[in-house]
Amino acid sequence: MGDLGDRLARGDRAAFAELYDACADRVHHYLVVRLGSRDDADDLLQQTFLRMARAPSNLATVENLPGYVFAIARNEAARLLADKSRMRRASQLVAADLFCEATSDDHMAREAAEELTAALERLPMAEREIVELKTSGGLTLAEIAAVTGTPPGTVATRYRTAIVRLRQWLSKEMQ
Amino acid sequence: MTDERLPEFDSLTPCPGPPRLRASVLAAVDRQLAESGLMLSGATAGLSDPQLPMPGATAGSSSSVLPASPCQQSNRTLPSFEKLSAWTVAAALLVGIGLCAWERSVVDARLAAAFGPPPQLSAITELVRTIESANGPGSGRWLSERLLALKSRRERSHQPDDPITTFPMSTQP
Repeated sequence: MGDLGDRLARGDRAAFAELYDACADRVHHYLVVRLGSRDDADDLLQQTFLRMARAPSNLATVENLPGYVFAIARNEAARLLADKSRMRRASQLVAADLFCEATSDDHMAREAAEELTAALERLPMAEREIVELKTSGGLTLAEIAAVTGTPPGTVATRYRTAIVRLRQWLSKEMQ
Repeated sequence: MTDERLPEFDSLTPCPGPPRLRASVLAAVDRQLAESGLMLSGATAGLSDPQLPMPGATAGSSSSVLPASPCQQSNRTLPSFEKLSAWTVAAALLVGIGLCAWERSVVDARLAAAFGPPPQLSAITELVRTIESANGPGSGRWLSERLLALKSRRERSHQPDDPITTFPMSTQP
């Protein structure tokens, strides 16, 4: 990562493309879950990379670049969500925006995608965010703690609570 | 325990970002780097790329890629919380110092109004009179002011003397 950070700091376009390929899809998915809108997620992903391009010298010393990208994206999302109408919309999730299977011909897969989306939607935002960062984002609990500015113990507790809730809701759906 | 995953997450595929978004984002990054004069050679491929519209974006809506959103513009102008705090503390200190000086001058003025100017020592008065007779009233006034200033400075810097140790020898039995 150190080499990539140096190249980013020098303004190397290929390095930005490399970073994009490494984490943009995961960050985009996180933004969709956070904002409830693919269009807003598109905008904010661009804002996130623009922010890094505006002060690339900061990137030379970053140890965990994907975590850094998630942190910037999270800040951008928080600014957007300061608008209450957006906050309301953000609580609603659409399965087709989140999982490829939601639009597939396989009935079972489509149903699973819809059930999981509905269960995610029921979670409080703080827990939903942690579950998303852990499962689709691929971050460790320590990295999530750093990205969200939450104590690691709290992150672990929230994740555990969220998983228990999701499991209960999904098992009820199955019955 | 905390690392456990739901199998449902493993059986489903998260939707990736739209394929055209990559070109759009990297072109915007190119432009930003070019504006900053930072871009390396060989990194100019996206510079002349036209702005790609986002899928589902409508003209003038918040989902258009550029121009940058108002959030980002306001970011640039707003000072950070730390800077704001530092300026507030500095301003509060300056106001405090100013108020302190003002309060002291007001108290001095009240004391002077209530009890009159500080008393002059008879020794100083005699010395001033001698100087006035020799050099004129201007010199006498100058000397009087200097001596009073010295006296008040000494009073401010010194602790009150012990009355026993400073008692004049000539008055002892």
